[in-house]
Amino acid sequence: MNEVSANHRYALFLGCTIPSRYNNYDAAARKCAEILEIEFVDMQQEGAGCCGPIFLRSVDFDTWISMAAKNLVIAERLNLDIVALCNGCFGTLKEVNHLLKHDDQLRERVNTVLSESELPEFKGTIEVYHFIKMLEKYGLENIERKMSLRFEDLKAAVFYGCHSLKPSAAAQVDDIERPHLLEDLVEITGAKAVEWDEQLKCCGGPILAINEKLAEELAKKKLDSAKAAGADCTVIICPFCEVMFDVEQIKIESDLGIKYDLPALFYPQLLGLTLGLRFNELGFQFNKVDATKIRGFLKPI
Amino acid sequence: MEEGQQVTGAVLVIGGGVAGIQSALDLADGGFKVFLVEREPSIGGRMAQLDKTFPTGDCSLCILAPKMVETMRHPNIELLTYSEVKDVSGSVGNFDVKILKKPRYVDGETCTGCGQCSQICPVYVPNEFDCNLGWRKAIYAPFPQAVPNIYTIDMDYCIRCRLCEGACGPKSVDFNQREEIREIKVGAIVIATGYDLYDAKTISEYGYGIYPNVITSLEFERIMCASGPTLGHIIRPSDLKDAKKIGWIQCCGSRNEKRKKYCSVVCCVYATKHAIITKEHDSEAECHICYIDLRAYGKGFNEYTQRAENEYGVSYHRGRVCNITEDPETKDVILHLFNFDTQEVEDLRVDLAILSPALIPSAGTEKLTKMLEIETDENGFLIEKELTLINETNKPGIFVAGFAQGPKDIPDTVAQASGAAAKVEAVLASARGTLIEEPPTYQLKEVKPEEEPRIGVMICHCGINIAGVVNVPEVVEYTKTLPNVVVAVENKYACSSEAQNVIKDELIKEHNLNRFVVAACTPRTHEPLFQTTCKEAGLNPYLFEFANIREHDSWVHMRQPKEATEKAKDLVRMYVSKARYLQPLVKGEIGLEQKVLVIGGGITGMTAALDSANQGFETYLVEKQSELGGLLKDLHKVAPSDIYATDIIGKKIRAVQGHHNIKVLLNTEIEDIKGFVGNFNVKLSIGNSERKDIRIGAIIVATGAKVFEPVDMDGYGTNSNIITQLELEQRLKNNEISDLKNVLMIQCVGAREKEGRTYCSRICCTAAIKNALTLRERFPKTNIYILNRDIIMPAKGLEEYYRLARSQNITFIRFHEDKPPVVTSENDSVKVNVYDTSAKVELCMNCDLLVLSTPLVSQDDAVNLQKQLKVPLGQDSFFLEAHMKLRPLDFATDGVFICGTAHYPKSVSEATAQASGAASRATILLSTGVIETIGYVSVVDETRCIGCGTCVSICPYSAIETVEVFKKYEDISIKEVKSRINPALCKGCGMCRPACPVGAISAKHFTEEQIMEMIKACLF
Amino acid sequence: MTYGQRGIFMENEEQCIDSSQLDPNFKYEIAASPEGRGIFFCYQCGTCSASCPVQHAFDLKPHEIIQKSLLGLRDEVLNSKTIWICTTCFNCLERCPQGVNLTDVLFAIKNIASRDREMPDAVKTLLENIFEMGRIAEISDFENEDREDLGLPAIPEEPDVEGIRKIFKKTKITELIEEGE
Repeated sequence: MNEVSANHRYALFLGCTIPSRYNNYDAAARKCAEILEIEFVDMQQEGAGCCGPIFLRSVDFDTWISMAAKNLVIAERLNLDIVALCNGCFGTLKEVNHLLKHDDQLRERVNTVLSESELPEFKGTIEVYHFIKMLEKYGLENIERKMSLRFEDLKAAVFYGCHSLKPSAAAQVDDIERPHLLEDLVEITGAKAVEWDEQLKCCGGPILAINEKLAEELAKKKLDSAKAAGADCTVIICPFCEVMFDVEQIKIESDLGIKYDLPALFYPQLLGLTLGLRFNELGFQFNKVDATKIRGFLKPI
Repeated sequence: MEEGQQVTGAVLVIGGGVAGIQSALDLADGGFKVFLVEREPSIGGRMAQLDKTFPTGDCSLCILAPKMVETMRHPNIELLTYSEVKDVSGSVGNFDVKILKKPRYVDGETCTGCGQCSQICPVYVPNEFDCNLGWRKAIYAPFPQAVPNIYTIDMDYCIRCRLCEGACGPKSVDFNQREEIREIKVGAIVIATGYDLYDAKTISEYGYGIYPNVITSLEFERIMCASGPTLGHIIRPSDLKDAKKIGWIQCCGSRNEKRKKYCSVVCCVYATKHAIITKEHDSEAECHICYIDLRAYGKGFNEYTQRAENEYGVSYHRGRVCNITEDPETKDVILHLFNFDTQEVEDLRVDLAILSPALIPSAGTEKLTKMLEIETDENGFLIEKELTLINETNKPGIFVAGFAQGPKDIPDTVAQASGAAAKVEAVLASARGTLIEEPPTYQLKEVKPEEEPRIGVMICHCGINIAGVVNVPEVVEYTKTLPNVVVAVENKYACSSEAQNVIKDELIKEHNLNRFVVAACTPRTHEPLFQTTCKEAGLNPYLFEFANIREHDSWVHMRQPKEATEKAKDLVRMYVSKARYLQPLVKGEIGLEQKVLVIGGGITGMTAALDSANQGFETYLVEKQSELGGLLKDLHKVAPSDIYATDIIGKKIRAVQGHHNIKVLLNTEIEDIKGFVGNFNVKLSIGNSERKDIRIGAIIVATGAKVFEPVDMDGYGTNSNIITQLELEQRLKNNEISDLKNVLMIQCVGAREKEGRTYCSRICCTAAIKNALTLRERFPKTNIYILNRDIIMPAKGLEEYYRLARSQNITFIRFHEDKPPVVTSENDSVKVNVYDTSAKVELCMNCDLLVLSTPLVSQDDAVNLQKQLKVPLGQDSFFLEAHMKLRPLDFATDGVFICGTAHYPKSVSEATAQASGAASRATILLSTGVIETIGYVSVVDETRCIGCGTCVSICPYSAIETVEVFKKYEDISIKEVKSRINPALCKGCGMCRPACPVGAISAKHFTEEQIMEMIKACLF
Repeated sequence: MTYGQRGIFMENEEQCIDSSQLDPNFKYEIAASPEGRGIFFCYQCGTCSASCPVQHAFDLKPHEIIQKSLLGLRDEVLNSKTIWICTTCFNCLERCPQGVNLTDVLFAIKNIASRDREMPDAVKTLLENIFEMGRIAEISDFENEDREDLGLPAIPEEPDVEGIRKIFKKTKITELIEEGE
């Protein structure tokens, strides 16, 4: 455990997609953090913007890694470990942090770009966490202690997405073939995590802009599988996956004339309800697929 | 070690698998005392767990058990099972070893292995021998054929109820036993610790340990085995239903940078074996093997896979399984792979999935090698001293054999184990015979043929094994009524030492018996015991007969006690009638010449000569060319190292020429060989003018092989830019290659054919990569392509070598067997058309140099040599060994041994390992100074023999030859041809008897009279 | 498995590629990037293609891309649709037994394609946004209103976009996108 975050204080990295599409994820995460007495310092207020997204890596490796390093340097200046809410941001920041720490040549190359761009150099002093990994570090029993409500009979299909777990050498979050962290986090709320075939397959998010039809095909496979497994809702940890499970659900429903009725919740939204937070506090009004029915499963402890 | 220092004539062999057993037997036969330490309660190792062996389909335990029994009974071997090596100090020639004997809580001296304790024990424990698929008890023998057959209590599970103590007849259970330290002195150590399976649970994408119908290959061996947990029914764990559709997943953890980088060598072939056996169980079953490269590299292996596909209908899918998922309802498992033949992603649904996990050095190896300060590589395998010394470790006096040195199959293991023995014997030659006991001599009373037979019979209860079904007292009473039976008794355990005393004193001596019959278990294990008892009582051992009323009666008729009792009476009656006609026989001794002849002066022949000469035996090394070195002297480097072939050869030649026990004869050919084992007369012709006659005791064939020249194939012979790998190597050696743009190599030219040369030549992929790497080193810009069907890398270090080649930008193009490359050759220009099954394109390559990888083929004079030696040639004219698995270096003809590429294509390491092994086999023969002939040989009655020669061609041991005999009738001399059987070679198999058209041959101890009497006794 | 029986081997029997059409330098071009170094280790086992969620939509399967790159079929690889619809799920990279790091190799190939060919329009737009605004999409008052409702602090309009622009100019990625105002 990094000394820096020993007292539960982190630099929160939002990225672009959350502020532009899913501010409810941000709100739910912060509100849960408050109750858990975890402090977030908003990196957006410190000059952080886009993480260095994956399609940038496709175009130019040096630009991608330098942009990501620029954000890591902000956290180094704050002397805080980063917590990312978006899989894409987490994937980039975590992998770049890992690469630069271990590859001297690469680090030199990137620091040259940074210094010639009049930016501070990367030192490798902080760690990067995904929101769920930070919760694991916090301790699931400790989270349970703060709960005042519990779910009963709620079946959830949890979805990790790809970049929270892979590439595993950098991510170090869970076993990529049989992960259990998110299931564990869901089960402490009283909800039951169902087994479903498509759980570990890509949502299609990264190619939505490039080949919409193919991306939707992947999204539909997820929704069909979760529904077939008897899930009442899905639990998501990335805004891009949420687009596929939430916005795209509506589109598929309207294109094909079918109904899923499968609300897609961000994990802190699910957790927040058990911590006693209110429906609108957690931004449920911004979920495109109506999640109201979830409240019916909530019971006081 | 100092010159002239006293060495101890004893050896410690660590590990009782087939490698340890073979080393132990060779050393013991060679006159050394052997301590064989095994940490399990029984020897046998992995081979005992296998169902059948490839490619012959022999039952594994059936071929291993006789060696296990021989190990137990050998007067020079002390078996220390359920023991571990605790401490070793000292150095070569004089090691002090402390061995920890774990307490069995059963007295090994009195335990008869009857199994009553196990039957009554209430505690069930997962049986490790059955890979935890079946049960044993807390007091147990790991498997029915365990050696020694002593029960053991597993104190981790024993509840101290002491029921076993009460049930034990001989009172062998002893809860007071404690750990014991046994201190021994040995001159050398052989490490033969074998392998374990890589933990497949860690490969989470395959679901082993989570999905019940995903199992490992070893678990499947136990399932297939008729004595295994499912009694040989191929069923699947989830619902115990027949598995009708089975998939094999190759390379689980092997060839994997994140797990084990190396190839485990044997899995492709054993998966084929599994599939064939499954088809034999159920011809309707569907068998699917999913692989990357199909490595069927050894003798008979490629044909084995061809048979699997063509005759048995096994499906091979080229494509590595990326993960396995399960249908939660049916528990079927689905294998996901990309199939390169159909060019589609395949979701293969099967009832049962079998993983071929990586094979790793066994669990105790790490600790042992640390204790002994032996160097191991990153994978835990012991590092051999040199390419041509793979038995030697970094420590003098400590040798290695088998899997502990690197992945290999059973024949290579057995050869290497014999090789280790040869190395030990060289070090300890001066102490040979010093620590072994002289076999006792017996005073046998004379029994004349006209004497009235006085037969004694003992009928064994074998605890309840026999007595639980057969009414033994009734059989005893019946036996007493048989003519010539003077006394008949019963005994609870006829094999016990107490019973031996009864036989000797109360029966044979007191009743002045001249024949003895025991009716009990199997002669395989106990006949020699009773024969020794007879000898001790002064009775010729051939006047003893053994009726099997256990395996042949009580065990197979368990539910029919009345009928079983009648059958027991029949069996006893039959053997008693034979006993009446038994005659005393004597073993003979023939002197021998303690000299070795090695035919062939290549690296193999030279190694064999050195290993024989180092033990003190005079050795002739005969080479038909004008210099030593063979094929290796034409090579540049030896893969996978960077060592120059000339260095290796040079070193060996110097050693051979400087050795006082080796006589090198160049330009020499074999003109004629007469005689038999221990007594060969060899006529040599030296340089076309000189002749030399030598007398030899043993002959080692190391005549090598030659490279196939594909004349008129693929443009070879007319185009100077189309050459073989050997020619490339020679050009590289002589720096005759200039910078080239495109170099192409084609693998499997004239090998692995559908018909004709169907075999894989084992070393061509390695040679191609080696030459490609040399080219790459010299010419960084040249494009090098290796066109192949599979890349065969069948030994330690080779998979890494293959990866090195790829990292050096050597491009591999995989083509399909049915669409091979087409070469267009015009004058000196070469174009190659090849369809790349991965890139899915047909390429038309302009080629500056085309290298054809052709197989090794047998030498032209192999046929001639074969006739001179009276040994067989097998497929493709390679010499045919006595038994493909367990006797790879022997011929059926005694006294002649085979090693190197004359046996089958192989690498320098393998060839020299075999050479050392052959030297061991040869010197064992010669070490005693005499050949002992067996008592029950076959004999020709020359008065009846018509000289037709049928028996000569029938005899598998070449023991019969025709001789000219002159018969005098008054003053006329008539020349007749008669067959004569050499008792030194005769094994008493009796095949000549029925072959003889006039019935002139009789088999001693199985005479026609004896057999007829048995038949009559049976029927009437 | 006989070739003739199934016959699903080649798509165009007539198409035969001459060695002069191969660019043997292509693989070195790919390996020049730290992402592409693993390309040489491939032994064509097919694990990547079997693990890929979108291989059915690819014109060139993942293992085919590697082999074609190694052979030097530069145009075919750079022109393929495959490389741009890789979802970067990393399954191939995780399961590859030889550490080819295929996802990374595809990144290296896409880097080359971006310079040698055209990147997809959607990608270009997003990069232009980053250059202009420091983000892939605009965060305006509209979004900040929602944030206020949720009790969240407003997002600053332009997060150190100067720093980003300097990086873009330094790495010369600006040559690939139209510089915005």
